[in-house]
Amino acid sequence: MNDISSISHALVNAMNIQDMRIKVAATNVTNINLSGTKGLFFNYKQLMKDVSLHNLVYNQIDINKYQSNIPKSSIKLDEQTFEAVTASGRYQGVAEMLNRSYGLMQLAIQGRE
Amino acid sequence: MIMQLSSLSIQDIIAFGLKHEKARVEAASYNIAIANVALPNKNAASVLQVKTHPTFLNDIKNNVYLDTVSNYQTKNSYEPSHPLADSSGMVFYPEINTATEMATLVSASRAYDANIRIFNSIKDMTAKAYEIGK
Repeated sequence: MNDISSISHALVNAMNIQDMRIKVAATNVTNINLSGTKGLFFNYKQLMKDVSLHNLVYNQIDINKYQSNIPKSSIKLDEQTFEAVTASGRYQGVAEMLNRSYGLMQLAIQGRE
Repeated sequence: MIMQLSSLSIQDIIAFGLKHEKARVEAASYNIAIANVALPNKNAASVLQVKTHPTFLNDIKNNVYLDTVSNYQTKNSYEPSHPLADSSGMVFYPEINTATEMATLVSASRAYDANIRIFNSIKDMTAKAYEIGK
C-alpha cells in the first residue's frame, strides 16, 4: 500500500465496512420487537483484519462468513443505536479522508504547491 | 435456520421498523382507550394486536397490519342502571391489562426513537458521501 490509489482503495473498503455495520444495527433495531426473528452479529473487526492482511476487495468478500445469529436477549437498543452512530461517524471521517486524498490528487494534477 | 441480512436498503429496513413500532403504539393506545368502555355484547372483539410476517426482510410487501384478537377475555361488573347491562344487571368490559399495554407503549416509543436516530445517522452519511470529490 504505497500509492495514492491504494489509499483510496483502503478508504472505500473502510466505508463499505462501516456501511454494513450500520445496516446490521438497523436490522437489529427493527427486529427488536418483532417475534420470530433473531439477532445479528457482524464481526467487522475480523473482516477489517482480513481485508488489511490479504489486501482483499470488499465486493469480492463473502460477507455472510462474518455474520452470525445471536440470541435476541443479547440485543440492547442503546448498544445498537451507539453502534449505528459510531459507524456513521467513522464513515463520515473516512469520507472526509477520501475527500482530502482527492484534493491532494487535484493539487498534483494542477501542479500547485 | 440462520437469519441473514436482507437485500433491502437500510432506508427500507428503517421504514419498516418505524411502521411496525407506530402500529404497536396505535394498538396499545387504542386498547388502553377502550379498557373502560362497556361492550355491547359479551364478545370483546374490538381489542387490537399488531400482526407482522416475520420474514418481512425478504418481502417488504408483507406489511404490518392491525387485527382484532379473537376470544379475548372479558370482565364484568354489576351495574344495573347501565344502558348496556344484561338481564341480570351485569355489564361486560374487555379484560385489558393496562400495565402490559403501557409497557408496550413505552418500548415501542423507545424503539421508534432508535429507528429515527439511525435514520438521521444514515442521512448524515449520505450527505457526507455526496461531498466526496468536491
